[in-house]
Amino acid sequence: MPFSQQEKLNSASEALKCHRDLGACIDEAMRRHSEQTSQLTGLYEEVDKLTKGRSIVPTSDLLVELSNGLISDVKTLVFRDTYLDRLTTFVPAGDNPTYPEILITLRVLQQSLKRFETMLKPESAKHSSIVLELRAIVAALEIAQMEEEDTEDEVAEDTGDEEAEEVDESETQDDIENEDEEENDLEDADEDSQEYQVYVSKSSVRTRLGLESNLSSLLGSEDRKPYDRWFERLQGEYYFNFAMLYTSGLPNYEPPTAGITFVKPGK
Amino acid sequence: MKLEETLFPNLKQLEVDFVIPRQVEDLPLCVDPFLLYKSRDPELRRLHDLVVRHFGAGVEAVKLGNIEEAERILDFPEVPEVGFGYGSKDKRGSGLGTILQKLLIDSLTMSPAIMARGVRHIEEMQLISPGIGPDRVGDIASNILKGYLIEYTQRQCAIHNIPVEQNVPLEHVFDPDDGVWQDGYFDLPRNPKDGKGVLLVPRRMVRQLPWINYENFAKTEFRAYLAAKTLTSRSRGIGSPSKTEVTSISRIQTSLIDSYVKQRERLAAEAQPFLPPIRDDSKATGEALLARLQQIPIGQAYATTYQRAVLDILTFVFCPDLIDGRLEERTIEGTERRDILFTNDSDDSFFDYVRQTHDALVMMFEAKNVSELTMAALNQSATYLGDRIGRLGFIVTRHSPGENVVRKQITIFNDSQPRKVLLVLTDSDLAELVKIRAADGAPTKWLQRHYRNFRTAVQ
Repeated sequence: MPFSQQEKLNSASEALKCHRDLGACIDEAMRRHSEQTSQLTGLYEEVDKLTKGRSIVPTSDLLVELSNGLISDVKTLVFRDTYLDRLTTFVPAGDNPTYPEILITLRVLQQSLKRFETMLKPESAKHSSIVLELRAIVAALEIAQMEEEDTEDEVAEDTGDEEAEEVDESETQDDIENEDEEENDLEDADEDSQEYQVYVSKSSVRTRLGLESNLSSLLGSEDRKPYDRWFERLQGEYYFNFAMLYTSGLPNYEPPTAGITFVKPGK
Repeated sequence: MKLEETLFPNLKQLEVDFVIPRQVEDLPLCVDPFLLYKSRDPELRRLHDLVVRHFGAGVEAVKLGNIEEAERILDFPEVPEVGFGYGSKDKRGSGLGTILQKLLIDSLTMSPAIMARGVRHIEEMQLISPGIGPDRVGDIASNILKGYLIEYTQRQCAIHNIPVEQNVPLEHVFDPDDGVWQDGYFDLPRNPKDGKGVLLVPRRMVRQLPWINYENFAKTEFRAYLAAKTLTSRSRGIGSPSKTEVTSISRIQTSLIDSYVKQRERLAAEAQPFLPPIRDDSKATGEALLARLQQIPIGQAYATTYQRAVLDILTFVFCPDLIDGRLEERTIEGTERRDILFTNDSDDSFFDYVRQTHDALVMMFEAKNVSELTMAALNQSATYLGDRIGRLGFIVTRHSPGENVVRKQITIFNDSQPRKVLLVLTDSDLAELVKIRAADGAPTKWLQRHYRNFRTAVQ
């Protein structure tokens, strides 16, 4: 029999792949931001020094070329920044801009990169959190898939085995009653979600996440885990909440829809 | 009485490419061969080569002792048809004449160093011969360039509807193919005062003094030489050395001439043509041009009138940066099209930039006397841009273009490699340029901003 939640697993895996691509985009943006900030800081400092006492002296071709290069680079990194959008590369057309003009332009670029950083850091954290949730969901579904397949195998093996289970005589009546209560709790839980028979514990998900990649830093401390909301406590243990998966749907990260963004609008 | 008041009643100095000569008095100007030497226009540079080669042949004849041949070659009478000169009150100046011709040959004979070195600029003759002044340099050049000046005059007369007479006699025209002086008859305007033919000289090749001149040499290179030799006037207790003394030294010490000429060549960008003192006239000329423009109705019937007005306005605004404005007519798919072509001979940074970036040695201005510029017109103009006339062109039209035309301009730029830039100038743009020029402002800076605005819009 096919895995009963195969569709969900497929969707979650696809969503994870998309978000990993987006993650690569964010990582690239952070790398380029770091490079550009470094270049800009150095250039700004030098031009600031050169500008003193040269308010009307035209700049060299090299400086214009470097500045134009930076303008172009920042424009391919930072999108929907009103003030950056108003900035254009210099068209010397025979007369290079003056030092103060270059300096002001570099300052505009600096401010733009600062605004970009202010946007990018929380967006990156938000994205990482969603990715972790998706990984947890995929891990839970994969564990469920394995357990479901194991159960089917066991059922197949048990068919025809008429040997009755022997009751452990060491069990006390209290133990039996307690077990009965716990079974009743699980049955109650099953009654709430009749379709979801498999129980995937949080510890098994964590183990799987930790095994499949070195995510120890991303998994967070014991106190704060971005995927905690996907687990519910049952009988002192946390189990993945498959019902929530069906009611809430998969978590999704969207880059900013207004203001500065790292994704080219319309892309 | 000025010549323009009678022969060219409808022309003002600032709206034409040439110097308008006077009827009787010479203008204190000269043709400066250095302006030909530094020109970006291959034709003008070729003329400089012609002058130097011709003079070099004379030097060679002297060197070989063939004085008769030298006298034939170095025969430079004044050219009254040009109407330039410093000394005489009328056009019958002495020219180099027989006496000065002999002086020139004697000076060369006395300077074996110069003959061995050769002559790179004919202006150098001022530095070795006390009898050769700036006017003589102009005469030498005018004589050798007479053939070109005849063609130029005929072209300008056609553009400006200046009446010409057939078979006007002209003496001493140099034939570069055969290397001989010839007399002939040409279609030229005639000076009603003396009955002689008139030769028009481009403003671009005219200065008050040649860029390489004796006065400057004596004050700079020769003074430094004297200082180095501790032979300054103060130490000797006498006044500045005479020209005879200076030339007698420079004839031998040709390194002085070399050094001075090199220095003047390095400063070539500063060598600018000189305009006769008519500055006060610029406002009136500008106003007259704008009034003329406003009176032209829109429509194909007035296309030629509009084109002429645009040519004059652009000459007024940009000459001598853009020179030798000429009309080019052609028929394409049954439509008669008219372009205005200028040669970009400017030392200005913007014009130099477009010359380098867009191969714009020639700049095309297409006059469109229409109320609305069409995409087809833009497309057609874009096809003209290329190797022959460069990749920067202008469409001059009556009203501001619509958004679609602006988008088309950007498409033309983006779709071309090397990039083609087609800019639009409207009547109001022309008016602004004229006002800037009339106020002695810098219309080139306006054009540079216009270009920048387009390039910025493309980003």
